[in-house]
Amino acid sequence: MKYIKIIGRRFLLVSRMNKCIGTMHRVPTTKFLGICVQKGLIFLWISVYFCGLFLGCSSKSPYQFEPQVVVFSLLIAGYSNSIVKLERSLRIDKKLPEEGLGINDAEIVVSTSEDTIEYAPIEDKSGFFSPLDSLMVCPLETYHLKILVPDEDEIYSETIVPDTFRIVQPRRGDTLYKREYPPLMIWTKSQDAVSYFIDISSSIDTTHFSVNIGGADTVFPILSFFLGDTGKYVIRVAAIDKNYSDYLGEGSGPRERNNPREENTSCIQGGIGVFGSCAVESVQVYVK
Amino acid sequence: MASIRRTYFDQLLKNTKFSFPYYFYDGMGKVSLDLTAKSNLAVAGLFGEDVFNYTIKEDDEDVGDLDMRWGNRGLSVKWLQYLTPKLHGEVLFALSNFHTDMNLTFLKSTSDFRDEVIDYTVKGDFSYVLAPKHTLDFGFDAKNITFDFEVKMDTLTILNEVDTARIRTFYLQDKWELNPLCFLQIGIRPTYFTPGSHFRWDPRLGLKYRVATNTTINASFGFYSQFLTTVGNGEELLNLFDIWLSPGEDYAPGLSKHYILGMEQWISNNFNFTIEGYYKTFEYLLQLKEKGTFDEDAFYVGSGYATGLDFLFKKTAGKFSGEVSYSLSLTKRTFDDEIFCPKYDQRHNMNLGFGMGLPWGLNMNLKWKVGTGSPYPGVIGTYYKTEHDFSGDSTYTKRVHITAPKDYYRYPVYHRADLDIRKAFNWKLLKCECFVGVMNIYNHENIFLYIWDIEKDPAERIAVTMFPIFPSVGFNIKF
Repeated sequence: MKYIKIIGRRFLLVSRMNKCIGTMHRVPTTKFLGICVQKGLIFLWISVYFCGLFLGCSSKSPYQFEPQVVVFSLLIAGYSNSIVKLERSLRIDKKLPEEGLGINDAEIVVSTSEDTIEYAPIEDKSGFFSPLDSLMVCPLETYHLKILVPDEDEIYSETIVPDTFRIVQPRRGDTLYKREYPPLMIWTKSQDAVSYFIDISSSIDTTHFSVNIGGADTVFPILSFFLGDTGKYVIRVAAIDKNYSDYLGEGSGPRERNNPREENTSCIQGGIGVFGSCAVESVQVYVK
Repeated sequence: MASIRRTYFDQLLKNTKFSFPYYFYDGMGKVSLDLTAKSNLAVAGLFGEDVFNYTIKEDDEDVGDLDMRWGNRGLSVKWLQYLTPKLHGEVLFALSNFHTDMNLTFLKSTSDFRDEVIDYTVKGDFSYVLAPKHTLDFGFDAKNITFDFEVKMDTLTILNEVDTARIRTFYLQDKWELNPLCFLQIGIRPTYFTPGSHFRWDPRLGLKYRVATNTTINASFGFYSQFLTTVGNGEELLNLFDIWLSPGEDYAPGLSKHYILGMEQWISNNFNFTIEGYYKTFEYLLQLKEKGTFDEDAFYVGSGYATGLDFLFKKTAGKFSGEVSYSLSLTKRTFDDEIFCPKYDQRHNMNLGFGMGLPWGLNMNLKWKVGTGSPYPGVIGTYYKTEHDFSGDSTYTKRVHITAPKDYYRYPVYHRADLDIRKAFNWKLLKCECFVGVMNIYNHENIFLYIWDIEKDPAERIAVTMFPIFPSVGFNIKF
């Protein structure tokens, strides 16, 4: 009702302006303008008229938000306990439902050229699914994910698991000195990996640092910035596929995006999230 | 002539609980010398720097320091010479340095970002009078621009890229008053640019026709090339750290084609009205890929256009002066098949300016600006993003946002009024001016951005506003 009143006032204002403009034909334009300027009326009229236009530009109906299925699954080479997590997205101004956002009535299948493995919901973990048979993830194998959720289109994605690799430097048990020139982490290239993820965590305190280096480099400087107090540390390197690299690169804060362009490049057809894969190596070192 | 100035809010608030970690200073100087009756030499220099220094605290303890400085320095030598009664010209040697430095010290670790653009220019502009109402302008412009970008963490240099762009331009412009009613300006600006060996002709045409005693019509057309670009994804509202670079071998320099048609009407001696319509196309625009890396293929190459109508009423002399300008415009960009209005698209924009003299030699200026709010994507949804920690099967989640298309929403109408009262006077050999100003006099809360408090259920939108009412006083001295 308030909106209609605003529109009504603007319409009235515009129609009055039009009537005024209509009377301009009776006197020469230049003379008329001169009179208006002298009296300062034209400034006022133009201001008020355009204010109406300006205000009209800001109002727009809210975007029609459709909740989507959010998929998370990461296959790790050599591991067999790969889970799938399914949730729904939520309109920003809606309260979180008490039962959570997890989806539990989905049919999930992960397949290779030789095997097809079904998934079942995990009890007491809403939205989590685990394989019914052992699924040992093999390097360089292509995996296909199919999900059927009632009243939703079929969800599909696929990933090629990066090959295993080896950490060349530092070696297990090496001592890294923080005050020296930053020691380098070096590893061999992993086939089908588009990026590497580094994770450094202390065994004695909460120091934890992780970064997606966002490229195919196989060298990374371990800066003192990443390390905490003296003690044992575990450094992990994950060779990640394109799906997971893109997923990590989407952003981590309030500027997370989901415009049409990004949807086109998402690895999940019919939903959002990720079905990715990786190969992981780790080394334990001592930091001084 | 020389002048130096600095802001002192940081000093005034130094020992209070409101710290103001920003100041800027700048200065300029110029010496002009008549060598002969037909030649003049001018040397000019300028410098300016913005400084932002912020101490990062945690539980009242200093844990870090952010020091940002950006500004420019420049020096030029200009030599003007009348060679013959029909030919005169000037040659300019200029050096400028634009720099941005950011130093972050946090938990005993330091990070340094440095971006420097050094521009060496030699420029010549000549004018030859072919006939009393027919002049030929020609000249050259040779630039070497070095881009030096460095990132250091602790003692390690993460990135150090030095790149030099060379721009060689020659121009020819014919200015011809065909008859008392018609004035023609035709020119061409061939430019060669490396790296990448790009060549552009950049033709330009301008026509001014007097259709009545107090009415002229202007039309112009031209190609304009852009050889420098900044890195960005085109969406950030605040750029703390601008990185300038040349498009290099991989991308073509930006190109804009302008089509302009306008009319100027003198209503009386001190009052005129202009209207101008324009259509500008943009090609080879670069936008950083959000998922990309700094390797090859880091940018989307896009295009766009801007079109609009500008109106201006201006009263230039008399007891009162003032102007009213209004712009109706539309700007669109296309990147990777996505068409959208960029953040600087403003459909309506109006400025009112009013100036008058007051008693005791005071001058007052009042400005009011109103414009359509900028487009923004707006948060429409949320979900829990899960990530793996690669240590086994453990995962962690964070709540992230889903946004609408880039230009779906617009911020509310922006409007603001500023008042400024000045008094100029001479003291001995110094030219002095003191002023009192109030920015945003009616304290309107213009929206800078919206953020969402996701700790609350449901999430709550918080508006971050721009400057509130902001009084200022100042004193300028020129010597």
